[in-house]
Parts: sequence; structure tokens; C-alpha cells
Amino acid sequence: MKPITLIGLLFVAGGALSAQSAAPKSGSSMDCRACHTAATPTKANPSLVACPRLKIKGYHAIDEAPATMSLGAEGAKYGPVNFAHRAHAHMAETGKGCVGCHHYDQARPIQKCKNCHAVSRKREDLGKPDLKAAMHRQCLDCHRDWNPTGSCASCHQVKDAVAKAAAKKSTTVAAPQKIIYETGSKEGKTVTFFHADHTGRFALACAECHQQESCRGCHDRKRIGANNAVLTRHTTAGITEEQAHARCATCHAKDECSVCHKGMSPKSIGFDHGRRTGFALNRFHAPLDCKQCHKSAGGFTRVNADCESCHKGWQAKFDHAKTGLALDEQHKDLDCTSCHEDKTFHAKPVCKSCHDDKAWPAQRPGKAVGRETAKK
Amino acid sequence: MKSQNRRSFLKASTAIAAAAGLTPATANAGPKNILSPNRMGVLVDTTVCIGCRNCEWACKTAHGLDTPPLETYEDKTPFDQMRRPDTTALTVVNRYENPENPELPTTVKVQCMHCDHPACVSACIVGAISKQADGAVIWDTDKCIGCRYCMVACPFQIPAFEYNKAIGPRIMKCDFCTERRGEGKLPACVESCPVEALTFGPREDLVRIAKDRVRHAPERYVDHIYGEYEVGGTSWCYLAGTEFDKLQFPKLGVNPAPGVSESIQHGIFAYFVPPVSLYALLGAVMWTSRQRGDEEEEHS
Ligand code: SF4
Ligand code: SF4
Ligand code: SF4
Repeated sequence: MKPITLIGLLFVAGGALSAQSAAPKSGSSMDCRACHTAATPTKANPSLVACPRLKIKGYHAIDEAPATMSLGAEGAKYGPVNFAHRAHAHMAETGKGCVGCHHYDQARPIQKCKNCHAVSRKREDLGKPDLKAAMHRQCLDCHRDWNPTGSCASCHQVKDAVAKAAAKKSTTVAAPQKIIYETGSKEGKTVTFFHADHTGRFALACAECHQQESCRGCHDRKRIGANNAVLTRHTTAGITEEQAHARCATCHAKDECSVCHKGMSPKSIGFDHGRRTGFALNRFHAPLDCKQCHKSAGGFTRVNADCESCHKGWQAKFDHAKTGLALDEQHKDLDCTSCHEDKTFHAKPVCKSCHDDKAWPAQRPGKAVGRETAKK
Repeated sequence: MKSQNRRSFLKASTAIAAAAGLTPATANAGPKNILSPNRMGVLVDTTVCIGCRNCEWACKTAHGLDTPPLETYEDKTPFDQMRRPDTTALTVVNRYENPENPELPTTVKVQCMHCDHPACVSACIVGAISKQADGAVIWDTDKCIGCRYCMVACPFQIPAFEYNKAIGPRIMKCDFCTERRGEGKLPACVESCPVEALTFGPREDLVRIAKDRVRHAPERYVDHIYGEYEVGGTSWCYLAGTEFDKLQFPKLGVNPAPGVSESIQHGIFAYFVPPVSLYALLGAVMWTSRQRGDEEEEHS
């Protein structure tokens, strides 16, 4: 009996056991099943999985990698694939990197695919695809995404001239000049992103912004030959405000809204001060202009939330009646923190530190006047 | 285990048939229904299939069926309709929506499942269809009387009948490339698949490989190997990324479609033995096999 069948039998025999946890009894956190197919591997029969896909360690600079490679054999109709290896390596930076394809390289030098993937489809070890299938799967992982018909000629050299012409349709990436985002808000309907300015002036590599995106974001067959200068995107559909801002925020986090949202103040786009800064604006602060508190020039800086930082010496001249409650004689001269613990003035005042039998708002330390809201 | 059952069952029936006055030679001429533990199968991984339809072309070419050149298969319009294997194509690939990514639909190759306990074999009254030790369920021209019971019995609606042929119409279905495999080649479809969505090998290994794949990429697969247990197991098994009923796989129980006794019963008629004595024989056979079955169950 072939060893592979033995492994299979062992697996079947282990089936009953496998319902239970595969974690080793010693209490180690490793999962045996990352490497072993059987619940109870033995030294004689370790039942190893075909390819544990360990991470590679032997990284080197992309420019040390071969620029082009010829993949696959000469067929009756299709020739090998002239594979632009280095260009793909650069593109891979926007995704999983080298490990996306070189999934079992542990150290340099990078291994040849056929060291693991059998050249023949008729073989003993069926656990991993043969060479041809492995190659096709690897390429098609992305190439089907932007070329759903998966035509052979889009990668393979075609021998007859007519088909060759068809195969020439390469998908060069035409980076747009500008991208106009439609914000969906009533004021300032758009944000214009000057793509060419950003990539040119700051010499940004694609991967610095584009990560784990669909290939078609850049390689879109439908866009070939079309006017690529200006693209229009909808940004609010199905994404949160954070997601919409995430990419720009890596550099623009501290900028004023109006840097991107032309002619908009934070207020006009409904900036939620409480949620974003942790300092909710009360009825006195809300109508103020941003600049009245954020005085520094260029961008908003954090303002010290202590009242004293803006309202110098306020305690001395504070008239409690302005809040709607004129304090009685006993309370008038107390320190604010006696009732407003931690100076959290928007929260309920505390009575019980002095009075066992009194509680706000049933009992009040004074008389309601003018603006009393009686809410709290 | 099951193979033991089946084999000892057949052995028992031969012995009893001999006792009932049939010569062993006659009994041995019956269908070769063997469930070998080493039977081969194919694992179809629909998450890998790219819908190129090379397999359709290869199958037709290998079986001398009419086909346009391979390039024409890049045309995806046949996917607009759901197709079934028929007398002109022993296997077809169908396309289904993929809710995860509408751009990359799921494509599913359909052909005979090569059941381990085939309903078509049970239904055939003359034993023209048989399960081979190599896993294939094949049809024999010389024995077939054209009754088309197999078509009705098959839970996957596979066998097709050449209605348009007045003389010598055949039952057409995937034969697991019996001829090619006899020459040491792979089934034509398996050989032609560019991404090895079709893996040919001992069924036992394939089930293990399928389990491995599901365990290592649970986000990619539903935890179900279609054919592992359906109708008592099939030699061709499937993996998928969406529930199988969304890909038009019939929901079937784990029991083989009609009972094994049926084929024996038909077999008896095929040898023109007076029914009365044979019903007694049949009872005896069933009784013996049930006894054995119980014993086996206790041991496993
Ligand atoms: S799928 Fe149908 S034709 Fe094929 S073996 Fe099973 S019952 Fe017979
Ligand atoms: S195994 Fe052979 S007959 Fe069956 S579908 Fe594949 S190529 Fe066709
Ligand atoms: S040849 Fe393979 S990839 Fe192509 S349709 Fe058939 S099973 Fe799918």
C-alpha cells in the first residue's frame, strides 16, 4: 500500500477522534493541524500537510529580482509567457508583496516553483497542484479580475498573426490627472484630488496609497483609450466618514476641512465636536465661531479644556444666576468643586458629599431664575 | 467496509444461486459490481474552476463527438443557459452568480458522479451498467435493451439516450475515460484543465485532500464535500464556496437510491429462473446480508 493511502487511512481512523480538539495536551497554544493532517500524528507517520505556506524570510530588493522571465513551454498554438517579473514585483507591493507568489520560500535563494510543484499531472502527491496548474492559478488570481474572459492570448504569445494582434491589448495604467469625489453633502458637493500633482511633486510610489485593492481600480479595460484625465468617484456610498477620510488623513489629519472641502467650515459639513474631540459644545459654545477658541494660525490645534484656559479668572466674577439658578446664602461662597466634582459642569451636581438626605434635582441649593430649564 | 459487505453479499448470492440449480458459470456472467477500496475518483474544486470549458472540448475530442475548435470555447454565451450533459456532450460547465464577487461567477462542471452504489446499476434489468473496481460506472452496448430505466433512476439525471438513432441507439454518459485510462492516460477532462480544478486520484486520498483544503482555507469553502456521503458516496466529489443547493446540486440523503436487492431481483429475471423458488432465494440472500451488516456495524 502506498504511503499516501496509509496517511489517508490514518485520517479516516482518526476521524472519530478529530471531533475533539486538536490542541496538544501540554497546553501549548500551537495548533497541530497547521502542519499535520491527522489528529494524532506519530513519529513514524507524521501526516504532514502538503504545503504549510510558511512566511518567507529571504527578502531582497525588488531591483535584484530578474526583470523578465519566460514561463511555460512551447505549445501547438500558444508560446510561453514573457513574464515581466520585476514590474509584477513592484505591483505586488500594493498587495501581499513577494509572498503572494513565493509562498513557500523560507530563505534565499528564492526557490523554483517546480521544486514543489510536479511537472506532470499524473503523479503520486496530489496534495498540491502540478506546475502548470500552480502557475495558471497564481496568474489568474489577479488576471481574471480585470480580464474576466481569461483569454489565453492575454498572457501567452500567440503564434498566428491575427490572434497576436488581439493579444496586444495591454492594460497600461493611465493615472488620472484629478479625481473628483462626490461627497454627498449639500454644501460643497465635491472634493478634488490632484492625483498627478501628488504623485509628481511628492514622488509617491503607487503602493504608498494603494493597498489591497482590486486590480481593476488601476487596470481597467473599459478605461483604455478613454479620457482618463478626470475620474469621478462617489465616496459616501456604503462607507463611514472615517473610511472616506482615511487615505488623505495619513498626511492631512491636522489640516482644516477647507483644505480639501473648498469653502467649507467644519460647522457647515456637520463636524461633530463631541464625538471627534471628546469636548461636546454646550449651548453657550455651540454658536461661537471656531476661531474664537482655536486661535492659532493654520489648522486647528487642541484647546485646553479647562475653563480657566479661555475664561481667565472666571471664578471670581462668575454669576451663578446666569445658569438659571441663583445660589442661596449657604451655597454662594462654596468652591465650585464642592458640588461639581471634577469640574464636570455639564453633569448633575453632587449633594451627598455634605447632605445625606438631599439630592438634585428634587432639592436645589437656591432659586430658579430666568433661564431655568428644569431639565436636570 | 461497505466493499466487504457488497463482495460477501455477491459471494453469498452466488453460493445460494448454485444451490438453487444455477451453474456458477451463469451466475458469474452477471454485472461486475465491485466497490474497491482503491477505486479512483475526481475531486472537482469549483472555487478553482475558471469556466474555460477546455474540459468540454477535451471530452468530446476523446470520445469522437462533434466539436468546433477549442478557440471557439472562449465564447461565453453558452453560459446564458443552464445545460445538462446529453448525447452530444458527456460533460458540460454551467455558470452561477457569485454573491461575493459578481465579476467572477462560479462555474461548475457536470458529468456522471460515478456513484459508489449506483442507482442506474440497480435499475438496469439486464445488468448492462456496472461499477468497476477502478471507480467507473460504465455501460455495455451488447447487453442494453434500450429500456431507459437508468435515465429515470439516476438521481443526477445523467444517462442520455440517442433518440435520433433508429439503429443501435446508445445510452450516453461519462465513462470516466475507461479507454484512455486503460492506456495509462488521465481522463481527458482532467488532463486538459489548465488550473487543475479536477484532481484525479484514489477517492480515499481525494476526500482527505478535500478536507485539508477546507481546513486550511475555511473562508474559501463551505464545510461540505458533496459526494462524500450523498447517495452512499460518489467517486467524483465536489468542493464549493457557496452552499451546493445554490449551484443546483440536488439535496440527497446518505442512502443509496434504491436497495441493492432490486438489482439481484432483476438479475434473477435475466436468467429466466422460475420466480417462486427465487423469491425464496432472494429472501435468504437478504436475510444473510442483513445479519452480516449487523455484525459489521457492531465491529466498526
Ligand atoms: S450519477 Fe447517475 S449515471 Fe452516474 S453512476 Fe450515479 S446513478 Fe449512475
Ligand atoms: S472523465 Fe472522460 S468521459 Fe467523463 S467527463 Fe471527463 S473526459 Fe468526459
Ligand atoms: S477545464 Fe477546468 S477550469 Fe476549465 S471549465 Fe473545465 S473544470 Fe473548469
